[in-house]
Amino acid sequence: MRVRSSILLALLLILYPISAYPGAQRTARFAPGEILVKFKKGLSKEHAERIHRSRGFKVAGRLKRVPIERIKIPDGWSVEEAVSFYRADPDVEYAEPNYIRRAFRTPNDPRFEDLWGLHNTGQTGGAVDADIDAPEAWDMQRDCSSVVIAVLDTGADLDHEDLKENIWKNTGEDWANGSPGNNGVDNDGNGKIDDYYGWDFVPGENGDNDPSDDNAPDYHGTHVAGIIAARGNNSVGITGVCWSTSIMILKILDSGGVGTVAEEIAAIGYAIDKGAKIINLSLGGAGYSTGEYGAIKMAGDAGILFVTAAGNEGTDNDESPLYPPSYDLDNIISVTATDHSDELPSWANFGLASVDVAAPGVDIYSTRAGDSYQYISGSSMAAPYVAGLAALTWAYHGELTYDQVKGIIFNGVDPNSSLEGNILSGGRVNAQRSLLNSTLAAPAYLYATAISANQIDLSWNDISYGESGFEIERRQGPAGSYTTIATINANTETFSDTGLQEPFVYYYRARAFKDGIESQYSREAHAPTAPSNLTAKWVYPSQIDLSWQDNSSHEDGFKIERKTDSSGTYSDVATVDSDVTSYSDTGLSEGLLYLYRVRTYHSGGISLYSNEASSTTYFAGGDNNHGCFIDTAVYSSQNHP
Amino acid sequence: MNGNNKCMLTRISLTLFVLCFVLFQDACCSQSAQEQSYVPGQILVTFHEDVSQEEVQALHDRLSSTILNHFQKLNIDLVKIKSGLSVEEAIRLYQEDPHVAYAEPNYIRRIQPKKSADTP
Repeated sequence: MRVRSSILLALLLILYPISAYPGAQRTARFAPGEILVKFKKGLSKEHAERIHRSRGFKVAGRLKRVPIERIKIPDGWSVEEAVSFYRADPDVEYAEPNYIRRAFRTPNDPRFEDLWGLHNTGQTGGAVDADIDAPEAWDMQRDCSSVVIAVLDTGADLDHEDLKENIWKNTGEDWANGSPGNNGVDNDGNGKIDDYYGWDFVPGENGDNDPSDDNAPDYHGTHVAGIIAARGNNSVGITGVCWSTSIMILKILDSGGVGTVAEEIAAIGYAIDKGAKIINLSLGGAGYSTGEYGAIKMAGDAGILFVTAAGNEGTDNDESPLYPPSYDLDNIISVTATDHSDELPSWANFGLASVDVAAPGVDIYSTRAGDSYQYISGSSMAAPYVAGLAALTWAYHGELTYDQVKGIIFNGVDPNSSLEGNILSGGRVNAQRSLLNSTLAAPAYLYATAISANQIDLSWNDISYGESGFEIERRQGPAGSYTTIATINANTETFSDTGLQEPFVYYYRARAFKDGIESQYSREAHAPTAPSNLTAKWVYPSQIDLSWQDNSSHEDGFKIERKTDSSGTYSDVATVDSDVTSYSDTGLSEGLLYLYRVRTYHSGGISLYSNEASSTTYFAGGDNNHGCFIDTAVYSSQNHP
Repeated sequence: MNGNNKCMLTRISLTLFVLCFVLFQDACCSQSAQEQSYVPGQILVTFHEDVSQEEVQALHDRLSSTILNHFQKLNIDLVKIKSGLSVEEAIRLYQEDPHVAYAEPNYIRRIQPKKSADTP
């Protein structure tokens, strides 16, 4: 995010302090006693002034360049009430709290300057802003302690000054005053005795409870761990993508950085049991393993996202796959590296189908065993940026599923020409865009109601917040191509599509957008074809039988409406299942005119009405068997395309 | 020499170049494969879900294998195969058994070769 648009964003962010997104509440601090209001174009100052004065509001200031007024609200009004008052006025384009924005968060860690991947000011000779926009994202979320990230690697220096506070601790084992009790008992019954800080799965090292990093001199796992989780703002060393978090250290690679799928499978099982949400795997190999695939899939069933390094051979993973990143599993996100100029290094693997995103991975400064730090390059360093970002996203918006988190990260990348055509997303991850994106939810329950042969009304639930508006797309028939037919205001939940032509069936989808970021699409909606040839037949003094022709192939059923007076109002009588084409309306009054109409419906829409049909029940007067039939069916052109 | 011949020569030399390249690549890759892609003497065996512990043990006994680890949720055993038996042969023997869903090498996973770490 460039600086200028960030300022604009700060001005325009609409973050409702409502409960749906608990993460948002933390940022939803706004100035008391004032709100921001923007009137629709063309409204006179006098008119606006009248609205303000009607409730004792005062204009405290006008923003330069954008026609937004800062409104001082009188005593006795809450900010929420004032916002609601203005929003209810048809002349108001929007009204919102005046959210407080500070300078973007930068931590006090002394070597923060060296972390170009988090915040690139050109300090290493690269391109300004070729980074993941961490300070901007930290303005929204810094803490990831609600999300456990398992790091399957060479272990980590558990005592490192900049890591120890963020290392996961197994509360299932008995602790003695905050220290490992080392009682030789498997307190949590997971088959691992005294696994206070994860586990060492490497055989020969006999699977012990000390996952310390022995991979000298690189200390690969320690370096990976620091990128995710070096303690932020502690005046020591560096910061990770998460300032505070919980990384589960599972050692599966030996001191030479080598392990097997058997150790990985065991560690994945441990991570699942102990509630990890994210697994970082900065490792790989050439052999396709059904067991490894099964373990990653099983973790997916448990809701776990795998972040994997794409490899450093400079090769195309679509051609020569590397596992696990190349498995076709939707809970894997495969990450390649970029340098400080957002370029793909010559050694970084790529793959238009099998590599998802890029992240900083050249000359990355991170933790090294023994309270020290060092630079290392590789896609191994890029993956943990994404693991950290996934944790930030989950911490910010806890109700997401792994595929939503993956989609949010994927859709939030900054595309660039070095990556486009080389990897699937064509971009380097951007934490701020991802967090913003996580609040842009696809419109829910999109529904198409046929109003006439030429008009379909759409409705949906706006469950996004902070969106700039919605895009409505339409296609003719289920095989047509979607085109955008309208872009409409934020907080809208309806749209009328007019000027439609018979006999086409129109399909719709919608999405929210903001600052060039789009939500996922809503479900597809369309109005099914109306039933026809509705007839109503009196059969008993208290019963009329209906029948109609089903003209739709995918309906959920039919809704039957009735009225008793041709000038009356229709109301629902019954709903019948799909493919049912008759209905007996019983319990009717004798000697009364009943009129009927029927609509086809499914989960995404409802048709026009059928023709109207009517029948008059016989007034029995003691003779039930010789009634006179007065049945009609009126075929109106509107209802019968 | 007319144009067509020239063209043909270009094609031949191109083919030769590509062939050399492929051969060179092969040489390079078989060498790195020697760096071991799986653990000798071990395989992973996935059993069908309805197979009993006794049936599993009987099969391992018959093939003189030792269970090194068992991954319960996935029905996978890591086994040490009889010495002298190749990994390929062991996989074939296990896959012949109807209780076995899948047998495969215990593949190596490693840190990807680290590239230039210029320390500024």
